[in-house]
Amino acid sequence: MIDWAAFAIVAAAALVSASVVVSLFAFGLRLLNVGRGLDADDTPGIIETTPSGSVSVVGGQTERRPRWATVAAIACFTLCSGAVLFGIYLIVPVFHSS
Amino acid sequence: MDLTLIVVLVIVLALFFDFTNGFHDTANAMATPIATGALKPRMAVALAAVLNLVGAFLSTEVARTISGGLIKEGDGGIQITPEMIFAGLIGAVCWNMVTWLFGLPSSSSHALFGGLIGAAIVGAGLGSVDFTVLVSKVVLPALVAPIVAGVVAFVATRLAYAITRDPATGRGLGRGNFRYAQIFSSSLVALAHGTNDAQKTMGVITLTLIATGAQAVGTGPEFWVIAACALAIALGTYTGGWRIIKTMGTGLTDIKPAQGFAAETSTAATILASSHLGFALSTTQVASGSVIGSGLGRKGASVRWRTAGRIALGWLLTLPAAAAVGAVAALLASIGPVGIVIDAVLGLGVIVAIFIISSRDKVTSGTVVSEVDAAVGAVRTPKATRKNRKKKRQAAE
Repeated sequence: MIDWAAFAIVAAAALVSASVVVSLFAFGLRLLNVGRGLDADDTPGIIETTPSGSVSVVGGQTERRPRWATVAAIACFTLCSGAVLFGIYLIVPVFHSS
Repeated sequence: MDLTLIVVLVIVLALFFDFTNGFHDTANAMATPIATGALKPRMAVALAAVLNLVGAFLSTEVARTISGGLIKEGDGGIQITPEMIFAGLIGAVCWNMVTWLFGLPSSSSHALFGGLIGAAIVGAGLGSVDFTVLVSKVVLPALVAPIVAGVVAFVATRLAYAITRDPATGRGLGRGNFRYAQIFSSSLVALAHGTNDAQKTMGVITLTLIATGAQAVGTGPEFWVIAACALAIALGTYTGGWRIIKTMGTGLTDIKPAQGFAAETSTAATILASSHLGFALSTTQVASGSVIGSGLGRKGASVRWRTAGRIALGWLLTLPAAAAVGAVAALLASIGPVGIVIDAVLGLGVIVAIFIISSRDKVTSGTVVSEVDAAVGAVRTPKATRKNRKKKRQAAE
C-alpha cells in the first residue's frame, strides 16, 4: 500500500516549518532595518548636486533604529531559533521514548 | 557474534560508500556560506563534518526501511545473502565513482538502491524485492521530494522577499544580512544530510547482519553500526571539504543570500520531515529542487528546460544503471568465492583507477563542485541577464 497521507504530512510539515522559520528571520531583519536606508546593492544611493555645487548623498544609514524595533527583532530571532530546535526535538525519538 | 569474511567485506565496503557519500555531498551544504563569506572555509568544513556526525545519531527510520522493508528477508520471504549485498554495494560504489569522475548529476542514494535491487533480482529472483515498499518509500519519494522542496522553497523565497521589501519603493531592506542566516540554514542541511544519508549505510549493514542471522529480523541498527556510519560520513565530509576549497571559484552560484537561506531551510525541512517517516531520499535531489524553486521565486525568473531536463535525465538513469552493475556483480558472485574475489578486485580496480585519474586531472573532478550548482543553471533570472547585457555593453565600449 502506498501511504499517500505520509506524503501529504511531509509536504505540509516542510511547507509550514520552512515558511515559519524564513518569515521569522526575515521579519527580524526587516525590524533591524527600521529607520535605516535601503540596501546598498539595490540602490547605489542617489547623489544630488545642488545648484551651488555641493554634493550630498540621499539615503544611507543616517537615522537611528528605535528601541522597540531592536527588541522585536531579537524576539523574532529567538522565536526563529526556537522553531528550529522544536522541529529537531520532534523528529528525534530519543526525546520521546521515556 | 560470528563475523565471517564476507560480512567484514560488506561492512568495510558499506563504510567506504558512506565515506564517499559524505565526500561527494559536502558542497551541497557548505558551498554557499563559503562563497558568500559568511563562514571561513576551515570553519564551514569542520562544522559540516560535526553536524553530519551528530545528524547520524538522530533517527533510525530510514535505516529500518532498508533493513526491514525493501528486500524481503527472513522466514516469510526469500533469503538474500551477504554475497548479494556485497555485489550490490560494488555496483553502487562503481557507479558513484564513475559519475563523480565524469561530473554527471547522480544520487548516491539511488546508486545504492539500484545496486542492491539489481543484485537481489539476479541473485534471488524478482520475488526477492518488495516492489510496494520500493515504490512507496524510494521511487515516489524520489520523484515527489524534489518537487515538494521546490514548492516550499518558492513560497519561502517569496515570503523572504516580500517581508524585506520597502513598501514605498519596492526595494530590498537589509537582505544582505540573510548571509548570516545561511550559517544556520547550511548547518541544518548538513545535519539533515547526516540523518538521511548515514542511515542508508546503517540499513545496509543491518540488512547484512540480519541476513547472516547475527541479528533478529525486524530490529533496528545496533549502536556500533550507527557510530561507525556516523564517523565514516563525518570523515568523508571533512575530506571532501578540502576538495571544494581547492576548487573554489569555479561556477559558484549566482544565488542571493535571501534565496540561499530560503532554499536551504526548505531542503533541511523536507529532508528531516521525510527521514522521520522513513523515506530514503536523495539529499542532492532535494537540494537541487529547492535551488530551482527559490530561483523561480525571484521576480520574472524562468526555467531553462534543457538544463533541468539534463539533470532529471541523470537522476532517472542512476537507479537502473547501478542496478545493471549490481546485477553483473551478483552474477559473478553467484559463481562462488572465486566470483566474489573477481568482484572485489574489479571494484577495487575501478576505485583506485578513478582516484589516480582524478588526482592527475584536477580539472575533471573540479568541474562540478556540486550537483546543486548544476541546478542553479536551470533557472534564468532577468537580473542576471540584465547585468550580463550591461557587462557586454561595457566590454564593447
